[in-house]
Amino acid sequence: MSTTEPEKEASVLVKIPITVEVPIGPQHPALHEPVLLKVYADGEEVTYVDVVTGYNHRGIEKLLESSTFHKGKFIASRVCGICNTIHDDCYTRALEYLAGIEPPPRARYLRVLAMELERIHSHMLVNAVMADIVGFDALFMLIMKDREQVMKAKEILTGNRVLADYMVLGGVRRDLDEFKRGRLLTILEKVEERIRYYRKLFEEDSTINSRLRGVGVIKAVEAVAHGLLGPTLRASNVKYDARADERYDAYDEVPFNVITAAEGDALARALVRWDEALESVSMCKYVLEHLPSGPAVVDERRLPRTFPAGEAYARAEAPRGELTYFIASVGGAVPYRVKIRTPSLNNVVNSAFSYVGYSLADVPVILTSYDPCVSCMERAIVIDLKEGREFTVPLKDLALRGAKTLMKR
Amino acid sequence: MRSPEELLRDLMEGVEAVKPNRRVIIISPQKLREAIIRLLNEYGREGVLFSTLVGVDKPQNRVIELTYFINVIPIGGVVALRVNVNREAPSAPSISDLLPGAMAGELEAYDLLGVVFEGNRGLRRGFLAPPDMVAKGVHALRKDAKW
Repeated sequence: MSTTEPEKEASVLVKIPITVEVPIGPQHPALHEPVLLKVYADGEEVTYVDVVTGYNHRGIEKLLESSTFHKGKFIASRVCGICNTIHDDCYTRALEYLAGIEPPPRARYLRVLAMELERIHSHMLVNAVMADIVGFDALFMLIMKDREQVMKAKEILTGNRVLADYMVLGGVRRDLDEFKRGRLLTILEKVEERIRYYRKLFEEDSTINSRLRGVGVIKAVEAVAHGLLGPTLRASNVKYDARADERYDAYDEVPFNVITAAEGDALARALVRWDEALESVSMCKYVLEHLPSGPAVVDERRLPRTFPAGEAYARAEAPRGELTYFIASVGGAVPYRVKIRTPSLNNVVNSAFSYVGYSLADVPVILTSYDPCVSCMERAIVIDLKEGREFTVPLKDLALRGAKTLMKR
Repeated sequence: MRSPEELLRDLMEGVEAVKPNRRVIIISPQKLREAIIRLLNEYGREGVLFSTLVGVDKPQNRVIELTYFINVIPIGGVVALRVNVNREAPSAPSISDLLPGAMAGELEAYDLLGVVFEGNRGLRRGFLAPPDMVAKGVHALRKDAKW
């Protein structure tokens, strides 16, 4: 058996930069949405992320163009399960702007109540999922158990745990009596205490802190430039909230603070959500204690069936950020065009930059498990150690001809 | 600090209204980037937050109408810029290099309405549309789309 003599002194160094492509999604245990994140990593470090969407495109905007304004309201509610009340409100307000309808004060207060209850349970859900992702399953279950009380509160108010269809053109669908008001206040007292506990836990627990602190830092200027919205934007110290900007419904009368944090990391975003949930609890209490008297429920039989020509643009602060509806009407019963821009469109598609430089394990959705495949070994760098020359060659050529032959070219 | 209308007065080709009480500034596609640069210079990179890009197909006018809703944080309001592009060969300059937040809106408008944003290298079919629609070259939100 013959063996090749090793060279006494190396004259050529071949560097092969390996990029690993880790596809995460569209179906993945750590993902809660059907989206594909193509994560490219050099070793453990993320170098590029490509966001691939389109797995759940349902053609709602097209569907809205062929449905009447009133049917459209129920379609708009079903864009999102978690924030259906906000979608409902935003669509209804856009129609109200178009038709020049002003809801009575009691209805405006009740709308705020429904939307703030939704914000509380949405923020609790997101932070519970965060606990799950960092491996703190017991906390996930505890938060979800307490979140159920908020769902109950929403059921007491609107008649349904999730899909409420609570808004009606010029009002709301159900009024609130004294008994229900008392029950809601009792639930809010209990929930407030629990949220305070969870906020403290997120702030002090070493497991959560070591996984979230300093991870995914986004500077204020980056957050604004990339059009990020909601708690993600506010956790980067940008004081922007559509509720404060637009003062729609009763947000001009119900006092609240816009919560911000300076750190811009994953922990700051979680804490901003807890603080916003607490703020929402006090807003709900304020609404229940200062609920104006008068009508809130409108007679749906008397609502207009056709709408005047024109355009309306409504925005609302959904739990995930600013939600916008644009409705164009040419007159009649059917809209000409409805454009819905959900906050996640900006937050998911435009945030690809924020993974870069962090470890693979810091891409939160891949914490539980991932299946890496090596696919992008494109080129090799050949360095002539004697002459200090450096050039790149395709791997195929390197395999066929060898580095020394290529160097002579 | 000047108001957006003062800032863009010489670029304006007209004004339209969107309820409630919002003014839409109409400008030509060639002036769009200039308008964005002026907004960025006046309000700073931390003050201009891209919100929504609305594309509306108007076959009767032979145009696709693009409306850019931009939140100006220091003044707490919305600036709406509208450009009309030729429906037969819809093309507008990309602003995603100036405001990366416009990326998602441009990708969507390209996929569903077929508007080419010149300078945006990320444009791809299938961003939202399903593969069968992409294979047939259909832009779903065009009024005459059939598939």
